[in-house]
Amino acid sequence: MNKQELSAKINEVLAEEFEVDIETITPEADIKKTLDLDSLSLVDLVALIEDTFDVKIDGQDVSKIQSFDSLYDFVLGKINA
Amino acid sequence: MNWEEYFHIDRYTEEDGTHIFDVTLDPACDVYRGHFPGKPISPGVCNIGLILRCAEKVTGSHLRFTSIKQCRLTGLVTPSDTPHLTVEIQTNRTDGGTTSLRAVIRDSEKSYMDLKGELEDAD
Amino acid sequence: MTSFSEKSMPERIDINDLIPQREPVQMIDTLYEATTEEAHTGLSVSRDNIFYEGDRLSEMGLIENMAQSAAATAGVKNHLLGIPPSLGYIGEIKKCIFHSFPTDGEHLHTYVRYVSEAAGVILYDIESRTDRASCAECRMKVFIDE
Repeated sequence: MNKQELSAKINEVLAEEFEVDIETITPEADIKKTLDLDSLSLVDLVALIEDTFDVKIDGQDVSKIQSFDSLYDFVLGKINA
Repeated sequence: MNWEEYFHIDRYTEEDGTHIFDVTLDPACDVYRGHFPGKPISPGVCNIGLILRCAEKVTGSHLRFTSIKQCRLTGLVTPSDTPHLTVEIQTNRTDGGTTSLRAVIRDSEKSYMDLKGELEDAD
Repeated sequence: MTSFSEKSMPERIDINDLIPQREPVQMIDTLYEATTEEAHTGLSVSRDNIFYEGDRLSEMGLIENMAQSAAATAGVKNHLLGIPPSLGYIGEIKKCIFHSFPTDGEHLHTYVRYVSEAAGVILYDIESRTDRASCAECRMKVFIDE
């Protein structure tokens, strides 16, 4: 899976789960602001990524990621690990 | 559970389709013996029950939940620190005979519970 | 649904060591299996139960049973570290569906599966059932008061 396919898939599942307009998800946008994430809903993001791409990720790592572009790179790194 | 031991309704009003219940929790309720010994905290499920009992006042029927889409517990409720609560309820009767419910429990300081669910007549 | 054998549990653990709830609101009476990843708990349903209403255990009873089962799973970690049970609070209940309600004399089995963890919040998938039928399922978020 290349980055373009992966980012399209991530955007699609995030927009559905967090009930936001997919157009608001841009590479530079802030994840927490765009998805209206708080400390309770961060785990939903982790579970969704794990479930969609069949990877294990650390919640601590994810909480440090700010932009969607960084998230794509992070997930890509996990898939190719 | 005897819900009259858990809370009583001080006032019930309606404003633009929102049903507003001012309630008071009773610290003598039996649940606090075990939740938790020496540290009374109102169980989240009792506040879900509080919403259900208030919703029954709105519809005038005996109700039960068929589903709870989301219920966020956003603050600690105790009968000593937060005895006076406001329950705000919006209901919408669906074609299938169920009632969709949106409810918030709060006081002047903050909100404690935010619930979206579906109800049906229990009888 | 998988049934766990009691032998698979590493050691006998007292429920009181895993959750701080006590009578009359303790809503699990048997612990068949508890690891940091999953748990299987039991409850003998009785009309004397505080959450028994009319002729059945109420929605609130089922939710509390699932919540305490999730909190017990979260409590296993503390137990393995040899420290007292922490107060595990439920932060959120999602996608909770009620299928049927257990009645007096039935035994409720509740299965908890760890899903993910982030920012001090643990996500569990839970299903509760009798020998006869599935009763309820939901996803719960537990946070621990350290």
